[in-house]
Amino acid sequence: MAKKTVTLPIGWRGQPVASALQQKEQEPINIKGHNLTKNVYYASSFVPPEWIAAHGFRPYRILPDGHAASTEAIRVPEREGLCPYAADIAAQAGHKNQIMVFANTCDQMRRAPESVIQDPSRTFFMHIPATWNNPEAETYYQSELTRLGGYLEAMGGSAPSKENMLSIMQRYEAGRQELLASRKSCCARAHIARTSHFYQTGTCPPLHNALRSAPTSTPLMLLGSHLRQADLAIFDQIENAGAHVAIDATDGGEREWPRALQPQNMQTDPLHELAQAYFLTIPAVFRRPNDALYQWLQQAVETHSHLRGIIFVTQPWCDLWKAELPRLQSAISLPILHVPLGGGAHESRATRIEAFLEMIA
Amino acid sequence: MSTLLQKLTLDDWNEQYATLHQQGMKEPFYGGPLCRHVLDGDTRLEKLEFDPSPAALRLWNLLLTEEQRLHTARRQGRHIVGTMKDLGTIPVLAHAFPNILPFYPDGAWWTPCIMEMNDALLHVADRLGIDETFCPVRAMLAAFVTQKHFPIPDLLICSAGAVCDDFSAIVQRLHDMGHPVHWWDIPHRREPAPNEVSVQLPGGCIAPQTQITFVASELKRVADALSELAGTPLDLNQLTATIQRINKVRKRLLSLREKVFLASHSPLPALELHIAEMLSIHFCSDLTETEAVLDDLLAEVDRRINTQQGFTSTDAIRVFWVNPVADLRLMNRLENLGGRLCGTDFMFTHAIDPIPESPPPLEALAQSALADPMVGPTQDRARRILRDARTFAAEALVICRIPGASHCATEGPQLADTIRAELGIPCIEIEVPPIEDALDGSIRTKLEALLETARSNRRDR
Repeated sequence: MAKKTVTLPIGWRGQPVASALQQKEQEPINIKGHNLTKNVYYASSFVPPEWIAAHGFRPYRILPDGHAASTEAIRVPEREGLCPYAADIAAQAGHKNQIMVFANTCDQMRRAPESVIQDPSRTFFMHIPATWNNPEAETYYQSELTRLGGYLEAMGGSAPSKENMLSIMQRYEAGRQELLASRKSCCARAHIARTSHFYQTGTCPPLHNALRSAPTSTPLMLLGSHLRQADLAIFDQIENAGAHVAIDATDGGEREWPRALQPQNMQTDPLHELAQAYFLTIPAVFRRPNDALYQWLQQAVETHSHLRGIIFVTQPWCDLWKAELPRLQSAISLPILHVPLGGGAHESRATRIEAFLEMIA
Repeated sequence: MSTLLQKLTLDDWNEQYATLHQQGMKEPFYGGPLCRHVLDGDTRLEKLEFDPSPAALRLWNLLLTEEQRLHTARRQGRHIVGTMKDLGTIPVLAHAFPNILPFYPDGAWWTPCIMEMNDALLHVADRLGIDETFCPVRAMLAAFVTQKHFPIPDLLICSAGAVCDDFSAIVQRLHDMGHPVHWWDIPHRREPAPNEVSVQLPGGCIAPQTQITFVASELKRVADALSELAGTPLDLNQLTATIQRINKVRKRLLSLREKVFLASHSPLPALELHIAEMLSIHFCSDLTETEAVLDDLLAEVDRRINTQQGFTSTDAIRVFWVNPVADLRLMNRLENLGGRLCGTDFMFTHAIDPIPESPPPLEALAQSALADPMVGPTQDRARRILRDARTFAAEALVICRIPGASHCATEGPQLADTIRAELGIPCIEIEVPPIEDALDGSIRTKLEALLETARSNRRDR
């Protein structure tokens, strides 16, 4: 008897997210009848996909998977001190014929791509000012977006019309709102998978019934560094231990989404509104000072009063997050468990999470 | 007939000091025998070998009395400003205010070495969650906690953006611990696009005018903060005069380096040259004395060159050194193994290159800040090293890896590959902790292998 093939919905537990998504990499995004087929890859929350799409490219946010990237790309040699997430993202620049936008949000991300870039003309480095509470930095960020636009046009893109820009911004805004609305209706793994799908295809996949079971276990916040494909198992480990991630506050998670785009501002000056929404409101750890991160955390803890604890994850050699741990412990009233990512400590990590849940139960 | 000079141990210096005094040596207000610093806890001095000249004594005393002089300045009513990370730019701006004295708390990264960990700064940093995965500059965080070293500054100014993650993360912690920081952004220096207006920076790199304009606006914000502290607005004429004066200091250093690197015998030991170069970033909190110290060193070096005296033999291997050493003893070690310094990039070449004097002063400082080898691509830094290594005929390259430092994760192989490919000289990367004693054997072996390879190459040529 022939085996029946079952296609699991994206984000179903145990299914590798990247493999489910990578088949979508070549599918065009349709914006008002125009098919966007040429990918522009990026990884930072400070690179607005709306801006890339407005120039006629298909924005594709990378969820790094070291194994997938290593087949064709040159990788940064593994060395002591090297952040594996930065190495994985940099490997994308090692691919030929691929346009990549890097954002200098940390020293490792700034430097890791240097040794692997195959074709400098296909790599764009965008500086995100670390300072943010002054008009000079805001203006500089917007000028970097303008420079990115000019680059995309030089790479074969089209100058965005206001009408097209508005349409794309509305579409992405609607997508983010849809994801937020369905946030409580699906498990965390499914949510992150749907979000990744959205940032790689521009569309929200349907919420499959199999993913709808509302979590009733202990709600936690996941906070810290960017996650790689291999790190997503932590969502399963948390669920297996009897809890669930109610808020994904890792880099790239919902903490790093822009504020809602304002229709009136969009009408007046869409690029300015885009710059304001991204640059002024994302409470990233690298901002100097990063007080906004703590304001966001305090607000999240107050708003989600049911939260019972925080799982704090750091990539190896991620100084920016690691240095924050003592400060988090004194500033946030919830218990915090630090879980270093990477390495082969999969089982001990599960045991630590179980012990943490026992303590806070 | 050339003469090989001998370096002195600390005990030797006691005798030398008495002799020089009998001969009528005059010292500045911070003068005195070197051994007194050991009583203050600087025990690493007992393991070092020193240049025997009064000029070198003055250099060491200027370095080792900095904290006392800062405390004195505070008592005299001057505003103490902690400038951080940019290594050379903000002190120029601060010196344009007569009642402000800038210094780099970053310099505390050498305290665990100089005091041989007796001050337990690294243990304090550990307890604050800043462990050995961070650069030794974590000692600075601890120094703010223990408050046993420099006076706590009235204002902290730190560059952010294209900087080391370690430093940025540590200073953010300082900010949270109640030491407010004025941050300014330095962008990653990028190559100008075709047809983009660009400017050649000191040192030879090129940057887009838009980046220079942005940095100048950030420096204007810093100037406003300094003005508020000083109680007087920034006088642009005074800043121009300060730049001109500091350029004279930088030219002295450039001259000193050139003379030392090109002489047949090294007329200044590597250790003292390293310390002298450090003066360029903030003048050891005393611009006037820095000028005098450099004048003395230059006179001594000239005298030694004219009389064919030096600390290394003519066949010493000419080594280019990249990054500062966390343990100063390694500078002695290099010479004892048969090497000598012929070229350096201690991460602040932009603090040695003269600041342009034609543009408006804040724009000139912005150009200088963007010339920082650590804010641009590693390949830019490699090109500068290559150029200098050619000029000074370096035969080997040492890349000194700083434990935990974010830039050291990737820069070493890129620098080494470029230099090796272009010059065909041997290169090694060595990691040097604040006290290298435990790794003494392996570091020595690596250096010996490097020098032996270079010597073999010399024979083959």
